[in-house]
Amino acid sequence: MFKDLDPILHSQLRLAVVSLLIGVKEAEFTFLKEKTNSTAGNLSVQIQKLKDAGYIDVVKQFKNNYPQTICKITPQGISAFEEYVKNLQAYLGQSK
Amino acid sequence: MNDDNFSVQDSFRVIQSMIDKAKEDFADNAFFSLLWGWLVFFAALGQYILREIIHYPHHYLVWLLMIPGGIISIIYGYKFGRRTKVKTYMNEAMSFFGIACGVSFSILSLVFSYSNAWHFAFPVYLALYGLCSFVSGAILRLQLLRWAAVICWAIAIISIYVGYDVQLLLMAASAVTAFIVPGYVMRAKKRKQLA
Repeated sequence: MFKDLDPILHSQLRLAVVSLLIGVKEAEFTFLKEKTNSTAGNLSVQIQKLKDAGYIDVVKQFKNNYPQTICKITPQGISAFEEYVKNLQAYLGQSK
Repeated sequence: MNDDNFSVQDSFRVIQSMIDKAKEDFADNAFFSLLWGWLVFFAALGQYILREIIHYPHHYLVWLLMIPGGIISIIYGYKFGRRTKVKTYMNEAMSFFGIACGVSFSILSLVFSYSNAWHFAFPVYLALYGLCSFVSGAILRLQLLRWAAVICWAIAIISIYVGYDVQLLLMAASAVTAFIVPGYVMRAKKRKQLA
């Protein structure tokens, strides 16, 4: 089922992360964790997968002596998300 | 829910709910609107009372209220920037636009101080008020602000033909129209969004 849907995005947490990032310029890891209600470990793994796919950029830096991870969607990520939504709509159209 | 039975409907639900959650973190733009609205309102009305009723010679000194207003805005903006965990394009556009408005108003104040052309100050300020309101309305997608801008521009034209005393009252009225009322509307909207 859903063989045309991008497997990177067709996962609840990864889709949630990309959906959050699509409307903003950049977001901190803690923001993504809070909004997706996920654990730090699981979120780190999914963010790494999105990064490996080239869908997001991850910058690690220090803010007030604390480590800070900033995530930002890439143009490739935006295209993939748009394609994913288009395919979802096609599936919904078929099922009607 | 695991990813094996993650359906198309679930995907849409996730996308919708995350886009809504990202919206919750928009900056409290109402703070700046209310701060500057009330400051200008009290300064304009204060100058009118000092000039026309009490006949105090240094009535214009009430406008020094704008200096703490500027300091409070810078501190609040800096603190919000440090506290925020997400940067939106809307917040960024609003903060750059706020800085541009602040710099423009400050330069104009200097120009009017040196040229002593105070009769023309309020029409120019009101026109700039309208501009700030109109562009903010476009960025925040708040139609009320765009209507407030139209009212400001109308008041700016009227203020050319009236005396300085009436200009002060028109300035106070435009602060209510362009900043105070939209400020409370924005605050109510944000509270509703967070509820």
